[in-house]
Amino acid sequence: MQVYSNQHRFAQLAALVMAACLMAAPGGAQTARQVRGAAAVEPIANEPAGKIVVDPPLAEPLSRGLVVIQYRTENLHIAPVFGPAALAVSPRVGHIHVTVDDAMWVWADASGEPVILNGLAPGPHKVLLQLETANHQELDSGAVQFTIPNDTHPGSTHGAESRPASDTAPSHETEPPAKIIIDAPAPERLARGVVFLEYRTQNLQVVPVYGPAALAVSPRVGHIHVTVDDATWHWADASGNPVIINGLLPGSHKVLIQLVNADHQPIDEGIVRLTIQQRSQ
Amino acid sequence: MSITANLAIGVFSIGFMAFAAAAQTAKDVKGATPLVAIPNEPPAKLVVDPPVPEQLALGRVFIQYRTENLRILPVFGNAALSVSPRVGHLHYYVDGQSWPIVDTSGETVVLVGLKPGPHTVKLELADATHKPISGASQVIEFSIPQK
Repeated sequence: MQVYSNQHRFAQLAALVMAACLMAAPGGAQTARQVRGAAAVEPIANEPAGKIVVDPPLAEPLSRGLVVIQYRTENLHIAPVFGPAALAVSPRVGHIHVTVDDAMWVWADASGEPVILNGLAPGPHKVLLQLETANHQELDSGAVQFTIPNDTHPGSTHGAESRPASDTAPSHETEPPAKIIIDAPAPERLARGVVFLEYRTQNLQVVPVYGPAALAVSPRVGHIHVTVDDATWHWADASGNPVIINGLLPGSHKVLIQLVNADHQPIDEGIVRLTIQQRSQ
Repeated sequence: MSITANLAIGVFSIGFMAFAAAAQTAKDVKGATPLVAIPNEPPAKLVVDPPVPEQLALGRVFIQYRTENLRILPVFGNAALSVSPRVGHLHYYVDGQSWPIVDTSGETVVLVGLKPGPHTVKLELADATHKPISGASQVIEFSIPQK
């Protein structure tokens, strides 16, 4: 009888755990809403707090010195929508600020794509991702720490530089060369210390499509690499959104924007030189 | 006794797996990064939710969907078929229309102004050459309420 009652208790416990599993089980066949959050077209009253989840850099690219950091958000759609009026938008919209190695400055990213850094020096590094409202107030943050191994070659992404470009670029004979046209920094923003660089491309569509196979895609696809103040490293951006940098120290600065093909080989570039004024306060 | 104990442990471990899924990484939710090719990528999959009920009651049709093993992007043509991870886009057909509406936004399908009564929307994933991907289509049936 004692045995039976123990069994009975186990059975009850098992049933309870099973029920808990079933509730959690939709993880296996999650609806679009469970994975993507509420549709952007549907306002939400009392939306819970915005949250960011940051994964460690992918191991295999990291072994090559390439830092790929995936993140996801909850209760916030990443969108290139800015300013105080956008604070009232529901569901909530926002973006991230990225800081490398405790720098004073950040860049803003409203693409929702992984953060991609290449060329960091061997050794330990830290990348901070801050989840921001549309008006640049922090809601949440996540940081990752990682080490770039010694035997990587800064600047090479897929070993692409070791291959002649002609081997990997079969099409585009008929397509005119790709170009990047970068506007001067928006002056009123620059006066506030914000570097806001709009650019456009010709004969190249900026999309997050990578790898040698994508070299054959026509019309041509690619993305940009951004380097600040002659750093050894750059970040990649495939959103087509303006480049936004904030917090640079007063003084002269240089921003290099390279237009690269899907396999990260440079096609064209522009250099923007600017001066951040000493702020009155 | 030992059988039930084993059962309980087994169920517990499944429970833990499910709980682990509840604290999902970005990769779990968003899929693999586009930066690294995926050899032998599994077939593309389309998951479509029924229209958002509160909005449907107001006559607005908001259909959310998500994809697995296919990224929705405005990239087309034969060459794009070799891109990895896979790229493609959405086609949808309202009330049996013979031609697809092509959508490369990845955003919720929005239909506002349909007449009261029953309607169907067929959604399908297409490859970069607009060929429908077999097994990746779904028909959603719903009814717009009378005003």
